Amino acid sequence: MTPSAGIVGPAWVRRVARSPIAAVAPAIVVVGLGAGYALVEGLGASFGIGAPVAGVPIGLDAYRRVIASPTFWESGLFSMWVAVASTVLAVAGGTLISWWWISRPGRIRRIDMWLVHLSVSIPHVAWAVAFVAVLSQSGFAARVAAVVGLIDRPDQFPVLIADRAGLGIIATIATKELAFVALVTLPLATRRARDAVTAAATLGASHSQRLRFVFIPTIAPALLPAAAAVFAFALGSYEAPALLGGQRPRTLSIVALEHFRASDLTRRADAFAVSTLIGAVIVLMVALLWFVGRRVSRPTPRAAR
Amino acid sequence: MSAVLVSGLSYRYHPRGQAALDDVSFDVDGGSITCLLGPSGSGKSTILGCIAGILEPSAGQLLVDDVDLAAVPTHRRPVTLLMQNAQLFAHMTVAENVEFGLRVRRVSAAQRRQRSAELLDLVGLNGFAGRDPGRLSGGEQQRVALARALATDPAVLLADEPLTNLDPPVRRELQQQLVEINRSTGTTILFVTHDVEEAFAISDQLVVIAGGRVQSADAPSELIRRPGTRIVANMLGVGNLLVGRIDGDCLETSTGRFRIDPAHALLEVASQLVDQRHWVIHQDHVQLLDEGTTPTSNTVVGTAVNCRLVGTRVEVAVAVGSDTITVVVPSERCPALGSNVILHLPATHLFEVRP
Amino acid sequence: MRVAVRSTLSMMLGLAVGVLAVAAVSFRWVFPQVVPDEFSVAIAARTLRSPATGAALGTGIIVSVSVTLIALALAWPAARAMARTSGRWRGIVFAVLFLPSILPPVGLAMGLDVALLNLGVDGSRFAVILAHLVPAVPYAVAVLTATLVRYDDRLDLQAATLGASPLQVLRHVTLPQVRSGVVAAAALTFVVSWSQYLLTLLAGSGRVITPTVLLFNAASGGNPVTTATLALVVIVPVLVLVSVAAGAPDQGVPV
Repeated sequence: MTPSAGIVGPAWVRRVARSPIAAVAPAIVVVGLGAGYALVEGLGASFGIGAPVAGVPIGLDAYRRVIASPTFWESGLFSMWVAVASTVLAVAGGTLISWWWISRPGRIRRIDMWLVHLSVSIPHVAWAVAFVAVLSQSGFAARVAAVVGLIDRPDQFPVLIADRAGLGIIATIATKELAFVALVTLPLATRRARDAVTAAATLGASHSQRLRFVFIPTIAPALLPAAAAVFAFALGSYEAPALLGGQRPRTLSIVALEHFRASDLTRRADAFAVSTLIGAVIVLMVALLWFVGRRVSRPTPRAAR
Repeated sequence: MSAVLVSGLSYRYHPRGQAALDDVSFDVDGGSITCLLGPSGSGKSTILGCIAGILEPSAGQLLVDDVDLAAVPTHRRPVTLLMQNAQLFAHMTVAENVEFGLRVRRVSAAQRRQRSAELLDLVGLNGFAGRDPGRLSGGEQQRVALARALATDPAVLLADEPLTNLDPPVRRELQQQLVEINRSTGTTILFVTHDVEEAFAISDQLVVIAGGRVQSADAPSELIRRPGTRIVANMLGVGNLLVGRIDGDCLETSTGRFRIDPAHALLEVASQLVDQRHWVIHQDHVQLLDEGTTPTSNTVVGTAVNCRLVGTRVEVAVAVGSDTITVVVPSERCPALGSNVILHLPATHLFEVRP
Repeated sequence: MRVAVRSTLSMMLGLAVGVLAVAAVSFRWVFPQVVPDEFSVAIAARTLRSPATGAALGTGIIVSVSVTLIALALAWPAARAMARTSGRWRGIVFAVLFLPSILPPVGLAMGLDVALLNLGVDGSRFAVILAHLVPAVPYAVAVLTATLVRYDDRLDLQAATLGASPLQVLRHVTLPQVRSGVVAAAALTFVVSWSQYLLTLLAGSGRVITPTVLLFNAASGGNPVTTATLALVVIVPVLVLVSVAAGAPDQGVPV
């Protein structure tokens, strides 16, 4: 209605200027074109198409090389493990935070919102640095363990940084992303959700039954996209694996970036092949979550009996 | 036998805040429909919250079928709660909603199915089992909620203004249905409403709440005759208040002198301690006498100043001196505005109320 | 229960920031001491005063402020339109805007870098700003929409009928009423840009060094005290800006 009220010109110009499409166009174009261009360039490069990989033969060579590499499956499985574990922990933690929020009457306090926003906003690099300081064998946690008498020497503290199981990476990603999950599910953890949970309680549902049968399906429309975003991030993120990961196994994101930063253009094609494979796994996971979401958040109509 | 016994119930939202409920006591007869009637904010929903276990009372005792509820968690209490919005679970079908209470009690699927069919039949929703509750009308949703609340055979069904958001015809239909279900299943119902008409339509017993306290409790037909307090008289729409001094078996007011029935007094009739006594008479019980009738006792002469159509009848405001007395008459008997009318206030319908 | 949430999150945050703060001023810190044996601010001060830190702060602020201003300008009309429409359309626009967030971050960064290379701007602050807009704009739209849905735009029409031009309406009527929301959107958009490591590294070809990039470099092989100091340099502005944003009535991400 108003923002373009001062536009002058022929009727069709004013109509276009006033339409919501014109209003959203700049934002959509910057984000959509930016990401779309990146996607097209990346996909093309993985097949040897485009200026950045000029001279590299067109075809599936990059994929063959990548998959044939001796550490590909190791890295792939490691990445999957890190991503799935981080996602499960983040979703569980974020759901519990939302659940706690609605379990008591009253509005969500500003301080809780502040804490969640802060956890979401702290840069990943800084969070990873803090985790190294806390979790390394000479870190804060090890020192506390030594003071209370659990260990005597640093090397008795479990290896959580650069370990084979990726525990440090998982801890870093999961703790940061659980706040993200809480933030995204928050708009659905409303008074309505609380009333539904209360209704379930008066119908005889125990705490765990209320969580399982009522609360989780209620927030599922936000929880599943959040899970997809966390999974995508965890599978393709660089900072945490770079700062808390070891030499072997390495995540696919590290492998991809290493190829990318090599001077050889062939290896650049390999980098995009790896990232395309990461993207393909994400697409499969999103499809799976979408399928689960349809089953959870809507009633399955049954024939009248 | 009382199905619910509430004694000395108090509730505060904040430990040192004002009491939302202050020493509330009443009981609910088994198999009855009892209404908690009061204006919004009077604390009536808080009482249900305490019985259902959603709120924790700051003092008092709650018994349901002689069992003290203090240590019983919400989900183990033998009551269910119907809320203002049906609160159907959007991710479940109608039947799954109705079966919810049985499912969490691990009743077998076959039994659940049978029970939900029975209940959907009871509330008149045959064939709705597989439907999506989001696509039902408000009345249908509330019926599903009713079936869901009855599925586990609760000792008491708590209803917190479940019909308030519905259109008047649907509302009257559901009131009727609720009474029928109460009669046929014998389920005790404790029903909260702010609507006097609704309370009168369904209740066997009426508990009037205002300001977090019980004002009066009695059968509706009794309560409208003797409201007990001015607040209740106001709430029930008992329109005529006479304020004056007791002189023998008469009430001496600025409007006139009325004979009273000493049995209808709340205080000792001859008590000289209080000289401002409040008496009420319902406008339906004031009689408009025909012109030319010889004034007898308990009559006053006044001027008709306003007429208001209420259904097929007319509510006439009559100015008597500086006071106004309201009388309800059939519309064809409505006097001309400005004409003199004679009113009769029978002693049998004059009741004292606490100021 | 709510106390449990608050204490879990605040413990996590407090532990992280606290350990970094202590590490930044530690001098000798022998295992298994929980508190350093000796404190000194010398190394931290040297890190803060070094030309590299100063340059990185300058670059970081220029980049993030530019990203914030551009993102807000692009997001404002979109958010106004979003606040007025609802349901299906809003869902579609947000889906498009947040689609990049389910791309693998490494892939997105590499693809954007190649795209910027093709445009011939790779390796400049300008390239970094363009790259940051991809994650920043959706965030700005989301936060602004959350504020604008509560704004009754009939007030604008009222002002227009009283003779205010569109710019005057914006300046004297709309903005004053949604100021806290716009401030929150600006603060959070700045933080999104400020936090980027990989996009900055690749789009800047390693030549555009922001504090976050500097921190990463220090962390992968620098002195722990310097690393802790730089971590605080990165975190403190975030802390301040998120607190500023928390003053706004609602910053929930509408999904």
